[in-house]
Amino acid sequence: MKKLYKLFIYGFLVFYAAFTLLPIYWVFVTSIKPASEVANFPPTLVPHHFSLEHYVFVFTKTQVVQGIKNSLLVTLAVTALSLIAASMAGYALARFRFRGKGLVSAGILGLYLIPPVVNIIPLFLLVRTLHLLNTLWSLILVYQGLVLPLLTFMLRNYFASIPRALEESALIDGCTRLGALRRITLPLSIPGLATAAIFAFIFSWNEFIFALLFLYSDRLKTFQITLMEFVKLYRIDWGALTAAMVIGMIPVLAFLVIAQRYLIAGLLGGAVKR
Amino acid sequence: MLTLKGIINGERTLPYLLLAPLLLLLFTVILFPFLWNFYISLFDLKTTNLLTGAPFTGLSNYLKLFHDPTFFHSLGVSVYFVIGSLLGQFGLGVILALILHYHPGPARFFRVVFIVPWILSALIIGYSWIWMYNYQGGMINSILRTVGLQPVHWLNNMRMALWALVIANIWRGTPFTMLFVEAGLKTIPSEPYEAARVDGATSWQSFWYITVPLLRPTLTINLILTTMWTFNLFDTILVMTRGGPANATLTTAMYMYKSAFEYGLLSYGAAIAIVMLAINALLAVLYFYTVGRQK
Repeated sequence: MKKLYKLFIYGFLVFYAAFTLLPIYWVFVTSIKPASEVANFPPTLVPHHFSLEHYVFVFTKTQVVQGIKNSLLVTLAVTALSLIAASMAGYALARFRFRGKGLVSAGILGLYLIPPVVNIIPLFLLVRTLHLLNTLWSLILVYQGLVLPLLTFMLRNYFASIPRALEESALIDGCTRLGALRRITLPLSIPGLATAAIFAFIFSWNEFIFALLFLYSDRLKTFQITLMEFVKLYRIDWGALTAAMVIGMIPVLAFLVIAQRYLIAGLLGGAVKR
Repeated sequence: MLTLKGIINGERTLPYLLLAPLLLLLFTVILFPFLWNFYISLFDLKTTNLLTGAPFTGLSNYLKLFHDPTFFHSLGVSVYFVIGSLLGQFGLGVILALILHYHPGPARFFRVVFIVPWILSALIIGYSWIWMYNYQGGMINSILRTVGLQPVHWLNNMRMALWALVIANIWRGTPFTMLFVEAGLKTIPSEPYEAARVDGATSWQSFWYITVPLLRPTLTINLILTTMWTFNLFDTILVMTRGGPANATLTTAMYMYKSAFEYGLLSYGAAIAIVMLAINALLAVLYFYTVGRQK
């Protein structure tokens, strides 16, 4: 009975792991098959030959490299700017008592509950009115707004967990408020800031709906949008597309492996905070 | 003492200064567009009259919407999409959460594996599944052929396309339910279990009479959140079917996007967005009601 139970548990885990990994496996093996084998019918479940030709093609003959550059530019700008705004606001909410504090907290939560989907049309018109259409600034602006509520809550909670007494002793020793923030609180908050940064990075790296609507010049396309190049009306170059997809998964998977626990806590925090 | 430094470091003004960038950004990117949406929906703004200005038409977009069979069709598709996705995500997610919670050893490895789909981009998820479903090169049809079954045109088939999207969405969304429920399990205190053991309860009894009731609020909140997200979701649908074939996968969110950016009817799309917002608000009220009752 006990053995049967264990068999069931492990069986289920392995079954679900297979379900999770098969699509990724299929993308990966396609990307390392030579073009002749990708075109083969029926497809080989395990590649018979190994080739990096699709990766070479993607890096030399397509806009993917330019896309990575654009995406990194947007992603790093969003991460840095939203981290600054969120840590300032998070600090204010964690440390100060001021008029309107409850309203601000409730307001951020309320705005977070508005699904971004319903704002797509006005955001498109807003970006157009600000003459930011077809600039990377449009994405830097909009992505920040979308990640800020969650980042602010994450950082407020982190700052609140750092003992106030440490700062107060710095104030007594003659530090200013901002001096204490810079010398004491921020260095102690590095794990919290890192989690927030990873979250902002993954969000900006993955987003493509707004990038699709706001950018139309080839040289401005973000990485995700360059994936669409491989999809022509009636034909998809699956070898090249899967290679580019693997390239796109790498940073996200790297963060998952490195910062698993913080990432889970941060992402769940977005749903359960109240 | 009204020096710049005095103002910046003053206890009174400093919190407001610190909040200013956040509030400015949230106003620009969330609150203002949110309010503007209502305004847009009262005009007849199209991509063709963006430059010349749109006529004010009052509530006529909403009237049109309530006589639009495609809109009601899209609501029906959304209902199927939400119910199908939730059955899979909730069933699998809860089972996985229980297994991971009660078996911390294998959990450490399997948890990371299970999370992977959840952090990939919708575009990559969409393309991965298009490739899985591909008629010739796809893995699913290869397996069907190997075991002697007929291959299927998954995404071009009126009857299969929506369920093919549901499976891809279960793949993507189950990790969230799993983590959420596991986190809920971890917050249940150990005292009731100890008391039950002293009273001679079997482990099945303590699961049924302690775990299940204490977990119920977590499960309800999870269901409401995932219902909202699934209803609003259209990124993978946009990548995989664009609502086709013949509107078979046209959810309400997809219809909003298409109305605005494919047919160019920006105001009509805004009106659909407002109706979606009302549906979301209803679900949010349910959410707060559940959270409130829990305390």
